[in-house]
Amino acid sequence: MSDTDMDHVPDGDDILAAEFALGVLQADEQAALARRVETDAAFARLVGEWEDRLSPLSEGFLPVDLPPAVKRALDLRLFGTAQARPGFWSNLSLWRGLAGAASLAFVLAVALPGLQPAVPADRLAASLTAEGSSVTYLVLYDSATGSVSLAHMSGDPVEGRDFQLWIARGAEAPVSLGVIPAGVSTRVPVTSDQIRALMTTAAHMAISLEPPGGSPTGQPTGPVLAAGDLLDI
Amino acid sequence: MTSDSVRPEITDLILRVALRDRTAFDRLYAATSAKLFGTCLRVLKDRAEAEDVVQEVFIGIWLKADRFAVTGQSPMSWLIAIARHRAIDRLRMRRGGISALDDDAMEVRDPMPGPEALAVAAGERRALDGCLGELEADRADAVRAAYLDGDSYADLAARHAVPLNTMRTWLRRSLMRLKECLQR
Repeated sequence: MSDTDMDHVPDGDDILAAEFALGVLQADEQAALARRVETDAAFARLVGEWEDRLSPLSEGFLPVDLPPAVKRALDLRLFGTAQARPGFWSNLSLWRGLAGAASLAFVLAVALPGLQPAVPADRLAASLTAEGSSVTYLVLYDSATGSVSLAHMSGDPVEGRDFQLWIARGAEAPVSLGVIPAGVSTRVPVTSDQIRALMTTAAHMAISLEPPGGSPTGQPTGPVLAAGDLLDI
Repeated sequence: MTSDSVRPEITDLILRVALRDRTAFDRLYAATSAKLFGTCLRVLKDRAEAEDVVQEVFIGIWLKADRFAVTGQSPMSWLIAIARHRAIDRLRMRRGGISALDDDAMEVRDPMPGPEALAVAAGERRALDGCLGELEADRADAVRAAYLDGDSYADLAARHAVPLNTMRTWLRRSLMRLKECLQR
């Protein structure tokens, strides 16, 4: 750095993103920019570019193992317990115990007026729910008809946003089943062989909140409103 | 740890965590918690505090995993950024001075990256090191201290005995020169 460029102090969003990524600003300035990152996608991208640019320095962070008690404390803070999943609808095993397949067909018949559940052949069900979200759906997949029935249980549509249905298996990236009408019961035909192949108990399904018309990236971009594992019924 | 060989797996785990998959969350924790704890520990230099903050880091990851796709950045750099920001927030909240380095806390775990990962990481590191080397030594040190130890403008200004605005001007120019250098 020479003194000749003394009058050129960089400004604008790019350098602000760099300062935020580096974390050199005062706590209140950092906090204000952290809020901006949440709402301003262009700024978030600039910050991400700087974090990538500086990330080789992270080799200086030497890995140190944590005692198992830390993970237990984390699970307790995040999930309430190390085992149980919160909420009635998320506990599908309880639900299965209570209801069974015949009652599920009944619930779907009630919840899906005009949509007659097919005779069970190879059927999978999932209860979609998420903590902090009021949106819950019951999913039934019938391999005989190749369609996914979605019974809307609770939760309102969000103005100007769409609900998008996803399936994912194991560690694979989610695959979209498309945008669904928000907040109503519906049926989604499964025409893709890829998605038919994914319809097993190894998979889970989820509904995310997306811009109108669905995720622009092909992967979920908005918050997950509801999710759950597919179970054999 | 930003290498291509670990990227697909960590990316998948983050995307599954976005779908509220607890198994994926456990696997992500197993794969990355040592590195993220090391990050918090380096910034905070206090084992108990770093153990607390690393939990906040993973709570943040669970809650914000759906934001990962928006930034388009590499998964380890995204995770480390969350850890750095949490640790720096905690550092700024402290009123007192910095405690002495806890030697027990610095017990090192072998990250065991593959040869390909090492080569990519070494290449990225060389490029950034080369560009830092083009800066004056004290300014490169300021960038490193800010990144690794969470130094603020105020800390850096005090250490280098210059006014805060001077330090800000130095660092802003240094960062833009780094960016230009890395783009060459």
